[in-house]
Amino acid sequence: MFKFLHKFGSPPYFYNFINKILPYLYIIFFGLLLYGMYGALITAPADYQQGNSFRIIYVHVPAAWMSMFVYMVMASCAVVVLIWRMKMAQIMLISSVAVGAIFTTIALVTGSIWGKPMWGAWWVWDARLTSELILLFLYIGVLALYNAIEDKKIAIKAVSILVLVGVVNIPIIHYSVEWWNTLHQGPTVTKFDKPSIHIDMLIPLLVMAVAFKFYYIINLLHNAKNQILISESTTSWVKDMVKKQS
Amino acid sequence: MISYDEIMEFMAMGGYGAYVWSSFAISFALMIWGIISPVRNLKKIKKDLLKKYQRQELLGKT
Repeated sequence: MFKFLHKFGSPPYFYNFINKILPYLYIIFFGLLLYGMYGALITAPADYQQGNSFRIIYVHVPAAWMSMFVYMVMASCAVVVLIWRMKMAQIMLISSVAVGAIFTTIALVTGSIWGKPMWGAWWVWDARLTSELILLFLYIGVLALYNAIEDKKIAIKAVSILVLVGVVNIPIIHYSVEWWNTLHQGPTVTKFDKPSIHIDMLIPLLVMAVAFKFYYIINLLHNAKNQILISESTTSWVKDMVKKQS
Repeated sequence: MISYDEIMEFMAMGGYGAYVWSSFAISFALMIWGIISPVRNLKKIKKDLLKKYQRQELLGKT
């Protein structure tokens, strides 16, 4: 077990491992995506209140879930960075920021497009929407802070602290629809009793959520490769690899 | 066979076609960009590193 962990903590091993595993991840991702999209667009029946416009849920909700999930992964990495200073945790944290911002943007934009026909407005200053917008600013802020500090050892510490402070926003996003009277509808899937959604609608949604998880892993690994090369640029394995490939 | 009318009806999404399709299009465009950008960046990083190593070697030799 420790030998296994030690191997993954070693950058050259991890870099090669990423290259080996990526094609399989792409296959799984596209498989899930095709199946999920088929279910989302064809087999799922139209909603009795919202008609076919509800199909936006199949990108909106997985993206919104992932926007919070990615942030929690970053927060866990931040704890590891501050306590143990593990290099891999630093790389994971920084590599997650871009994809987290992408998921948050998807959730906000598709939500806005969905809001227009259903609520009659592109945007309202509702608790759920506002807290999700703050999450987007947090992602942008983390990226800006990391790039603004020249010494990356100090930068990663500052970023970790910012990420941990921002964690307070996550429960606010999740419970905003229950704490305040919002225009945004309440949860339909993560309720403690039975989810109030038909099974034919629910299955494609869950498939899409898993597909988005795979997209996160793929995107994370692509960014992690870049981060590994930058942070290991003085080592001989990076030198040999770069020279060999040119 | 699927008729032209059936395809048009499917695309119209009961009048919500523009909203539904633009949502999916924007989402997938962002996701594709999210992959292309780091892949391009990797090439640039490798190029820059190669230049840096070559410069270091030249300085070392003289």
